[in-house]
Formats: sequence, structure tokens, C-alpha cells
Amino acid sequence: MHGRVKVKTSAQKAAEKEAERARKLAEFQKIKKKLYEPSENSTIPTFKQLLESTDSFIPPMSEYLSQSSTLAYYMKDWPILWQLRLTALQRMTSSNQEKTLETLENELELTFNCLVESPKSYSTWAHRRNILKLIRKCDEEKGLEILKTEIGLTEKMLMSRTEDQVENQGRNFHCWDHRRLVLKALPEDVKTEIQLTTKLIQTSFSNFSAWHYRSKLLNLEEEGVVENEMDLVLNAVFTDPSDASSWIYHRHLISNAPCSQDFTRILQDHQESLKELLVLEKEEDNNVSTLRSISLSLLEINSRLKTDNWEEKSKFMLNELIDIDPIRRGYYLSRISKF
Amino acid sequence: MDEFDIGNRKSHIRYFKNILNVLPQRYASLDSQRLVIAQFALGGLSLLEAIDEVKNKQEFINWIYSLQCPSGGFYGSRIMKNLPAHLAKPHIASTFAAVQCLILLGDELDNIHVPELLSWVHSLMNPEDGSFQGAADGSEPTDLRFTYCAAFLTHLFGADAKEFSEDDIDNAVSYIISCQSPDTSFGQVPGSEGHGALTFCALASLKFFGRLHSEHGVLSGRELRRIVRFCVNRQSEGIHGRPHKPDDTCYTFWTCAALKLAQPSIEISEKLDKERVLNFVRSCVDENIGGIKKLNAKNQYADPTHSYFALAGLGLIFNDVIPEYMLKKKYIKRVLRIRNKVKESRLLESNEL
Repeated sequence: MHGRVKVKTSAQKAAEKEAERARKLAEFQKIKKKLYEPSENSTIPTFKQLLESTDSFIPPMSEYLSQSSTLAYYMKDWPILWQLRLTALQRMTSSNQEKTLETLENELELTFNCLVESPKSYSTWAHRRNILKLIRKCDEEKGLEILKTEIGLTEKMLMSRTEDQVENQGRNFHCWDHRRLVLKALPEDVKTEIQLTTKLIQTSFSNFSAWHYRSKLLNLEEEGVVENEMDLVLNAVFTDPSDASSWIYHRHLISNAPCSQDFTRILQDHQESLKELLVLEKEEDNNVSTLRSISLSLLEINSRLKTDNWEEKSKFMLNELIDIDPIRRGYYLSRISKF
Repeated sequence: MDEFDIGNRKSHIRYFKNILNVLPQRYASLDSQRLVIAQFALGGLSLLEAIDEVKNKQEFINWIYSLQCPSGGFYGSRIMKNLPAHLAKPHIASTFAAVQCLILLGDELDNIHVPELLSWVHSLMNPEDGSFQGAADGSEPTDLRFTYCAAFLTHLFGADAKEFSEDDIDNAVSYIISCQSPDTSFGQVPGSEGHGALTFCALASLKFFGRLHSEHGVLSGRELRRIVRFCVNRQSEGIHGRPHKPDDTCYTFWTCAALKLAQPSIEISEKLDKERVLNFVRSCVDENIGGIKKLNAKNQYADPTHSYFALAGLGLIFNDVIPEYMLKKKYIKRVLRIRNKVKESRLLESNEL
């Protein structure tokens, strides 16, 4: 892909991974045994005891939780495990036990380590949010502070450079949704959010999730917004025309921006620039995606401007698209038939 | 029905049958959702016309019913059922899976506690925004996938106005719409980017609620055309779910089903290149153990989810699967018959009271 580092795995790395998995499995079996069977003189409740515990019995949780953190690490997709931990932590918080805040912060760290390994685990993300709520219950000021840190953390996670990172982090909707949910507890700050999308887009244009978020944050009716965005996106598509994400945003703007004389002028400018780009790109090889994107944007501009003969011009472009992009032949034919 | 062949039919059958017996250690985390795994395995076998390879169907049916909660819904597995009361909760995805499995196994759904199930589904709805939880324990946030399960269940078991009023439907529909992204596709929760699978969940739910392509349809022609465009643009060789993501075999179902629901009068194969999809799925077949992988990569194994949805997707493209039901055409007649039967028997009951 254009300008991004691709990390390859070799056979040796695969073997190392397998050995690591085997070691983890053995460790997991050992811990599991420990948790189910009580050892002598142990103050740590077993799983069974925890399941049977009631509100009036609060075993010394902090030891238990740190013991079972390894277990949590290996079974992080089992919602019940997170729930048991949450129940224990809720009890600690309600009964104002010593070291509660410390334990909660450790739990936060545990979920972080789990997420590094498994960034798409529904239950881990949900548990993390539950812990954030508990911290706030325990200490409101500290809680809000931690929420702000949390926002910073999601940003770190979403910053993507390598192809791998874009896949696992930048496009990770769990992380995006988490950020949006945490933000609900903080005062609204649309400006910062827009700045985030700008930052992410400038780091990697193919961060479609960032473009998407941007499209939700901005109000196209607001003064100056459309001009600014059309400028930004034209720059993006010229910098890397092979990247579909910026083109999608381009089409979003073209179809949703409010009518105005200024906008008509902008569209005409774009039309000229894109026509030139199309001519240049047609001379290249292996750029089906680019040719398709340029054509689709031109089609969108056409149907917005509706200048003389626009229908004929559109039909012509759609016919060209059938040659360029035969996979979607049927789709283009159906569009032609609508004229 | 057109035929498709991805090769290794016998090894895929063996793969699905093995899943019904035991799964490798790496799937331990799925233990709480055994019913869902069973659905994928039985569904896979049905798509391969091999459901009769399951010799002990009644045993399975008994096992499924043993997971039914007396106050409505199904637990994901025996372990989930045997947890202490405050932790043991039936789950809407398990319930969806249970009903699917029962249909595939030839059961008539006579032993489902229908009024309890419907009131339980209703209890999972958040009256403030119309979203559905997965289970009453709040362990997961609400999202559109659960709306789909709820829509399927309330439609199949004929929830009446007392169990699921017009206001409830409007509320549920408003949540669906709130998940729509600016490009008109649907995301998992409000604010999320558009996604092939969630677009399917949205459209199928709207269909079950009677709000798609109907007098009370909530999506405009323009929106539906844009959804078609979104779906059509998701083919590279195989199909993927979001812009600029790699092809992934399970989206063969999700994205194509969304396409079919958005424009039911058109054959999917008229909009996409079905041979390329077929070739992509073929390239993802696991030669060692059977089944289908997510991607065509050496360090990938087949898994139940992708094996099932790849086949369901091909079934859909080759005209044999009804998208919103996720079932082959031949099951629909029986499903509709069951639906009518449940409706009639409940009418009789209420007349008697």
C-alpha cells in the first residue's frame, strides 16, 4: 500500500508464537487449578466461594483479584469472569474497603493489558467502562481526572501508521465507540474531536473511521465549513488518489453540502481538477480503484451541477466504468438505465 | 436454485460434525455461547444439504430445550444456566440460536414458552432509546445486533400489541435510525461508522417490524439506493464489511444480505461478480481440517463463524437463502406455518380466558 510499512511474519516467528501459546496454556491450567481448589491456610476465596458469597459476606477481595488476574488475562472473552470481578469490586467500593482505589486502578491496568492482546474483546471494553464508573463513585475528582486520561489513551490507540495498526487500532470501532461513550461523561468539546480527526487523517488518509467521525461532527450548514472541507479533501485525494477513504468523504460533501453560489463555484473547480487527474491516471497501470474513485466523484458532481448534457456525460462515464471496473458491471448498467 | 461448489464437501461436513462434539482449547472463551456455535454447525450442515448426518437429532433438541429458562429465553450453555441466580441470565443471541437450531433439527417449536419469551424480550428493551440489551445483567452495552435478534423473535412468535405495542416498535425503529451513519449505512451503536453486518441487522429488523419497503417504510428510495451503493462497493475479490478493509469470508453473507434487503427485486449476481466471490471463498477453504477461514492466509484456521457465514453468503448469492431469516428457502414454508400455528393457538387461548 502507498507509503505504509508492512510487517511480515516469518516461519520462525510463527514457531515462537506457538511455543508461547503452549506456555501460556500450561500456566492457565495451573492457575485455574489453584482457583478451584482451596489450599491450606489460604485466605483467598475459591471461585466456588465467590459464586456462593452474598452481600453480607465480603471476602478479602484484593488478594483474590490479583491472583486471578492471570486467569482474567487468559479468559478475557468470558463475560462471567469479568462479572465476578466486577461484583467483588462493586462490593469493595460500596463498603469503602481499604485500598479500593488502588485495586480499581490495578483492574484498569489489567484490562489495558488484555486489550493490547485482544483489542476487539467486547466484554473487556465493557468491563473497563464499568471500572471507570466505579473509580468515579469511589473518588469523583480522581475519577474525572482518569476519564480525561482515558480519552488521551484512546487517541494513542487510534493513531495508526503501519497497515497493521490501521487494521487493529485506527479502524477499531470498539475503541472509537469507547471514546464516544466516555466523552458523554465529560463536558462537550466538539473542537477537540474535530482536531483529533484532522490529526488522524493527516497521519494516514486511509483512516476511514476518522473521516466518518468528522462527517458526524461537522455541520455543513455552518459558515466556512464546506469550503474548508472541500479544500482539505481535494488535497487528500491528490496526495494519495489510490486511497478510497478520502474519496468517500469527498462524495459525502458533494451530495450533502447545502446549495449556494459559492458551492457551485467550488464544484466547478473540483470538476476541472478531477478531469485533469483522470486523464493523467488513465496513463498509469494497476489503478482501477483510483480511476473508479475519480469517476464516481465526477458523476456525483455532474448530478449536482446539472449543466448542459449532464445526463449524456454521466452515461458516458458509467459506460467507461463498466470497462474499468467489470466487477460492478451490473450496478453501472442499472444506473445507466435510470436515465 | 443455482449450484455452487467450493470443493471438499465431505471435509466441511466432517468439520461441522466435529464442532458439534468438541471444540479445541482455543475456543474455550466461547463456552458461554455454545448454542450459537451449535447454530453455526447445524446451519453449515443444512447449507451443505447434510443435516441428516446428525443422527441424534432428538438428543440435540432435548439439550436445547434443557437450556430454556422458565421465565423466558435460553441460556448460552449449561454452565451459564447453573450459575447462581444473580449471574445466570438467558441471552438474546443464545435464544435466537436456539430457535434456529430447533428449526433446522425439524422441531415444531411446541415446547417454547412463548408468552414468557416475548415478555422477556420486551424487558430487554431500554424504553429511553428503544435499544435492546443482550441479557438482563447489563454486562454488555446495547447494540443493533440484539435488535435484530429481538425483531426475529417477536416476528416469529407473533408478539401482539400487549407484548410489543406500536409505540414499542416505533421506539425500536428510532434506535435503528439513530445508528445510521452519514453515508446511510448502519453502525453498531449511534455514532459508529457504517458496517455491512450492522446494515444487515438494521434492514432485517426493519423488515420484521414492517418498516422496510412498506407503507410505513422509514427509509427513502434515495437512502436505499445509497445503501445498495455502499454494499456494491464492498467487493474487492471477495466481500468486506467496511471501506478499505480486507475481504473477509463472513461478509459474503452480511453485506450481500444487506444488499438483497435494500433491493429485493434484483439478483445479487447482477450487482456483484459472483464468480470472484466464489473463488475468494474457495481460496479460504481450510485444506487440513475442512471448514472455511476468515482470510486466505497460512496462519489462519477455519472457524465456525466464518465457515457458516461464508456458506450462508454463497447460498444467498446463488439464490437459496432468505436473508432476514438466515435460512434456506426450503425452511421458510415451515417457519411460516409455525408462525401461523403459534398465532392461532394464542388467539384460541386468549378467547378461552
